[in-house]
Amino acid sequence: MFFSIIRKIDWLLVVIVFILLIFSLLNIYSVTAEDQGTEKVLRQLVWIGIGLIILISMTMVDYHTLSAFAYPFYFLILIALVTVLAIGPVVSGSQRWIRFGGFSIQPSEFAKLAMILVLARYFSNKKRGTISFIDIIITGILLCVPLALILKQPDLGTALVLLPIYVAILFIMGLDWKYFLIAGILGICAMPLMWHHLKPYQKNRIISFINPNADPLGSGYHVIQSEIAIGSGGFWGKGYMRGSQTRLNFIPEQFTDFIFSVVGEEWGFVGTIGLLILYFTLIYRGLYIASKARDRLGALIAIGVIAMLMMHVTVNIGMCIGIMPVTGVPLPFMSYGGSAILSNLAGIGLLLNIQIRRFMF
Amino acid sequence: MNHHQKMENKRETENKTGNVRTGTELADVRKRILLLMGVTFLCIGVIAYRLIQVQVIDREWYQQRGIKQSKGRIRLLPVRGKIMDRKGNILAVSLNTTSVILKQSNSTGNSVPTATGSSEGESIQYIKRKLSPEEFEACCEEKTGSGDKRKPSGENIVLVPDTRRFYSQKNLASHVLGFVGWDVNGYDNKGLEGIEFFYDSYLRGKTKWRSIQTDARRNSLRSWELTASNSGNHVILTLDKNIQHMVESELEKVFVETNAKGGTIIVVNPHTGEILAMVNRPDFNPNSFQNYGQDRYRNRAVTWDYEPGSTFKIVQTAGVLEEKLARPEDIFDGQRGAMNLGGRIFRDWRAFGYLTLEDILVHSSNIGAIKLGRLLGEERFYRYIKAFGFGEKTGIDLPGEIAGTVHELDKWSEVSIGAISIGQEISVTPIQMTLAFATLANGGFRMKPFIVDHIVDAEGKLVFKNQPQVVRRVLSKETSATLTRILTQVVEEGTGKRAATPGYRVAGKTGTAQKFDFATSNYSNTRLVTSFIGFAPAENPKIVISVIIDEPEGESPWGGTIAAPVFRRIVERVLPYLEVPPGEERQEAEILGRADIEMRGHRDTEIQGRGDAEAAVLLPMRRMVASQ
Repeated sequence: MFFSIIRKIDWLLVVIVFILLIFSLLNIYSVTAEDQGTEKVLRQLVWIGIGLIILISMTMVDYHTLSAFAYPFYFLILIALVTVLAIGPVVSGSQRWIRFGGFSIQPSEFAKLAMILVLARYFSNKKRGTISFIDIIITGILLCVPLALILKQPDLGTALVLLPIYVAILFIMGLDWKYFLIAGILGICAMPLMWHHLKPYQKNRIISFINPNADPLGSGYHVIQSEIAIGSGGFWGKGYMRGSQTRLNFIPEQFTDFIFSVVGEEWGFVGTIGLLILYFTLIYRGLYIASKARDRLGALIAIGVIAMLMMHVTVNIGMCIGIMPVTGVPLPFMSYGGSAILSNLAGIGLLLNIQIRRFMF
Repeated sequence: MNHHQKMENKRETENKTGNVRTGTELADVRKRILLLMGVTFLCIGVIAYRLIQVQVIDREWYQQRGIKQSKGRIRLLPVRGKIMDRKGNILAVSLNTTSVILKQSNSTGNSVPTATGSSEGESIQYIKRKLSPEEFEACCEEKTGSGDKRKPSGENIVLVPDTRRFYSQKNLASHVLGFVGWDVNGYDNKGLEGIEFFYDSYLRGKTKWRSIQTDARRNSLRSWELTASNSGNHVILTLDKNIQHMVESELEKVFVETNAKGGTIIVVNPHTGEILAMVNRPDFNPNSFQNYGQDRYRNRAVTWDYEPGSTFKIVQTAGVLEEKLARPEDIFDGQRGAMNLGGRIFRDWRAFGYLTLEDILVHSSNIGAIKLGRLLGEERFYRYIKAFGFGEKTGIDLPGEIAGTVHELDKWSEVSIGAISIGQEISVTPIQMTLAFATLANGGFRMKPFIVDHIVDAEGKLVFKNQPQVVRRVLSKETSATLTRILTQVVEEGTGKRAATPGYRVAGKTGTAQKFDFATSNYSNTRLVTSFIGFAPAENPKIVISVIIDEPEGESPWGGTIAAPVFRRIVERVLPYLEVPPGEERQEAEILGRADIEMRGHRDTEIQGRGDAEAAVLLPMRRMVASQ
């Protein structure tokens, strides 16, 4: 069993993820070495270690077995999300974490995973093209409960990532084009309505996305600084540990959501394009696994995971280079942060799981 | 038929319902996955396009912007140069310290930071200047809770490097050193008095700006290491700390004992004009100059003038000898202590009869001095006064020097020549008087005094050097030798006996000048300036010392009784320090010559035998010169 897994495992995927993780540690060190030494890197290493254990277990246990626990996991996450709102500490205006000793867990990161499993489980029993309006209502509710709880934190970015998971799964389930068209039109119509429900800082982010120089030291600051960092990296970059914008703290907490700007400045165009190729290959492999999955459940889980990763990569990098508004979405495998690493590695575990069990009957 | 298709067929047949997918379903799914692939490719493509734009096409624009926003100019912390004595002992130094400031940014991030954190467009406010080490520790811990000294600051409250001027010798040479106040940037770097003021431009160093990279908070990352890069030049004085200290203690003693109003002692090298010591009382501690009255800052050695009295008699005596109008042994009529000149009665402190020229100085006869003055004549007397440098600044490198008062010849009254002959109607500064005696000591050269020997930059390279400067030749070698010999007599048997130093022959002249009382328009009998100015060793002078005490109290507050002993004690301490061996009687004989000793011996017996005015009349009359 073990050896057959080793033989069948998608090594390209594993190698890509490992390259990303090592690259991530290098860049986190580059940003934090001066002020904090190896502290952040070591913490991230611990998270990666835990994440790899989860990845292995997610690979070993048949995904059919895992999907049996989809609903309990889903409800556990809902409880965690409620707990966050109840007792979570307020950090810069929002409640996102639960503290366990020295570590913090961000349940919303795992909500994405729960969403994937639950939706895949639900639709795996439905025949393609037979999705009724009732199905959409039911899954819509399944989607909206955690979405609402996450929006309440508030964490717009993570909440928005749940949507493409849902859309991608419905899309693969063969939902008629007209539904997507209607949803799209409704979405655009809802925009002005949603505007009123946005927090002032969220509005500012959207305004500054449209015109970053409207408030260069305020909400547009991050984007401008990130663009300067990436642009000043040029083609070849300034060299590892030599990014002056990075060194000079122009971008606060650069090792979290804005780590792409470190890559851009220190590794240049070569580095950013290399990173893009890695992500593209990762997504390509994921979609390949989805297309070759043994059954609908596997395909849907794989699509969900890929949609999640895809959304994260696009939104995060788009934000760093000024073509997306600022939302607190981490770059998969690159950004510092335990919960994201755990849920992303778990997602990779699921992909490997599906890939291995293609031919296993 | 390949393996995959077999599998799919198998799956299809295996289960028609539920989870397992059908062939048509698979085809559509693959179509849709391909579509997702396309969407992904599109997204990645847009990102890549944007990256090409930012990192390849527009990279220079971003690079410029990055450089611009992180560029700042930093004003290096000015560390004022040290002031040292001639042996390199530190007298004034700027110590590194730390201040706490409150920064208030009132611009949009384009401000210019400095090492201190102050910058254009930002207002800073000192919360506490010059922390003590304990305060500094407390501050660091409070701000960070970890004692991290690199980043002890919160948002706007910042610890910045600062300097504090410190005078390690406290009151020593306080008038020479002066003190500093805050410059335009709030540092202890603006000389207000003394050397600190006079050589301010050297000590301060140039205001240097350095281009630096700054972080997002407009602070230089390396500001803590940029502290010492703008050092001013170091000033090395001609003063000798040890001599200064000896002189300070001696003046302090007499100043306290006599409850005097003031006092000045100057020690100078007669051959070069170097000031070895310059002491004034009352004094102050420059470390806390604010606590003293302004009058205490005054360097009386150069900023105070007084009527010199008898010490001034050397001037016309030197003139008479130089012009060969009389010889030391020539006799003058003392007129029994009273003389009418232009309606004013001049009196002697004793009713002298006939005196030799030498005795006029030895016993400090006023009548005799007036006769010497008249012998020289107004015009020549005036010329010699100017030649000795009275009525003009000596040009010493200290601030606030005054010239004293010498009336123009055409303003002299009938009485003037008499008054000036005994050191009245004229005012001089202690430094002028000291340099006049140095002229006798060095063979007739009026030197320009100086107190800064040289100036070096922070690396030790010579920036400035003061050279001894002859202002003019006043006397011939012979005249100064003769006068020196006469002045040794003053000490050995005249008014300056208390200046006599065991082991050394010293030359000098006493002076007890009554202060002119403007209230009564007459000279006061109680307010005196008593002085003794002389040099040692007489045969080869190493130092000229002037001791001038302003308004001493006591029963006999005269130059001979108050100033002369101070002179002696200084000679006793300073000459051994300068490693001048005590002279022997043989040496004296060689220098003075046989005839002089004979003459001296003769007169000694006469004066000691009879005493007082009577004795003077009995002195051998070699040549009658003066009538009247």
